[in-house]
Amino acid sequence: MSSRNYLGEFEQVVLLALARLRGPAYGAAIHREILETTGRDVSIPAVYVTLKRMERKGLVASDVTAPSSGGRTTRNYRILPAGNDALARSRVLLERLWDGLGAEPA
Amino acid sequence: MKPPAFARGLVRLFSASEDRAFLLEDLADRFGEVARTEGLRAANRWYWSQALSVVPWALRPDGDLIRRRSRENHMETLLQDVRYAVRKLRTTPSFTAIAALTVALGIGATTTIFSVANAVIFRAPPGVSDRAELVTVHGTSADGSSFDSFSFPNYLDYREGASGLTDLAAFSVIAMSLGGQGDPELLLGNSVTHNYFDVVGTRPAIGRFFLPEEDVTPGTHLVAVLSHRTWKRRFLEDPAVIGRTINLNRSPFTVIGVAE
Repeated sequence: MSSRNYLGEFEQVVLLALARLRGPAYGAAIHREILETTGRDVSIPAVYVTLKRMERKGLVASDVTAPSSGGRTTRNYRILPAGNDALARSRVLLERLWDGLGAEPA
Repeated sequence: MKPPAFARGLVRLFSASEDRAFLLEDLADRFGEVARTEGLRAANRWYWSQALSVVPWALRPDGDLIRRRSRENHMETLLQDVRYAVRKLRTTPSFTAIAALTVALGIGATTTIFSVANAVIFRAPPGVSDRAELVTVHGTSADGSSFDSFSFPNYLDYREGASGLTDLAAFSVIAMSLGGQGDPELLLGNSVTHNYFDVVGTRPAIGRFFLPEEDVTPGTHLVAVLSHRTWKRRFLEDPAVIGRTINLNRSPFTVIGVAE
């Protein structure tokens, strides 16, 4: 199976945060979701780079959205079906590896 | 409150143009949040850590670069950067004015210093030919110190016996009061040997230079050559100045020529 179908650790984090937001979201919103959920204040530029890389892989897509009222123009990302599939495969992979290890690895 | 300017510059430098504006605004928003909750110092530290995180991502060799180096996009990127910079500068007129003044002062000072150095060191004075072959002669005392003043008899001896030199001229700087026409004026002039202009390699603009017999007996041939600048300023480039009598330190001198 191609390595393009498996996600790196940070790709999973970013994609999961985007999935949790349940709709198009821009970089800062994804960063905030990661921070509030995990407590990790990750690099915002790294979020951008990762989103751009996943867009090239066809896992997400983006649109530049003009502000509706009083806001600012943002580039919003949404997950594509291929992205959901990649998340699912990565989850299965990790669960298989964790299976039998208990709460803490030996 | 604004994020640190240098850190912002780092982000701007290493981020891709298509995402730069969004990234900078997201970073600014988060900077504001951190500043409100944890203080400005913590916010600055946070922003710097974010800015520095851009660099390794931009330099990744696997092609996943924040900044794409495309030859076709260079001009477009440059124009976008210029437009962005102009927009930002317009929002901070005081900073823009101070920055422009600072740059102007720096350029002015550098230009002035180079102009002086160019005129004094690099460029030959007007009218001097073969500058590379023109040298000054210095003496060395027994204690090793250098001097460049000689008695006239010593000069004559050196001129007779100097090997490796085509000719040797002497000059002495003298402060002079120029009178005879118009208000008296203090000038710096040179008392020179007759071959001075030949050695320097200049030519007369009008008139002539000194003859060998004119520096043999002191006080017998009171003749003067005007500098081009003095001829222009004081005598309005009048060619009739040749043959005119002027007073130098209250002694009458005949103007015989003007140097180039």
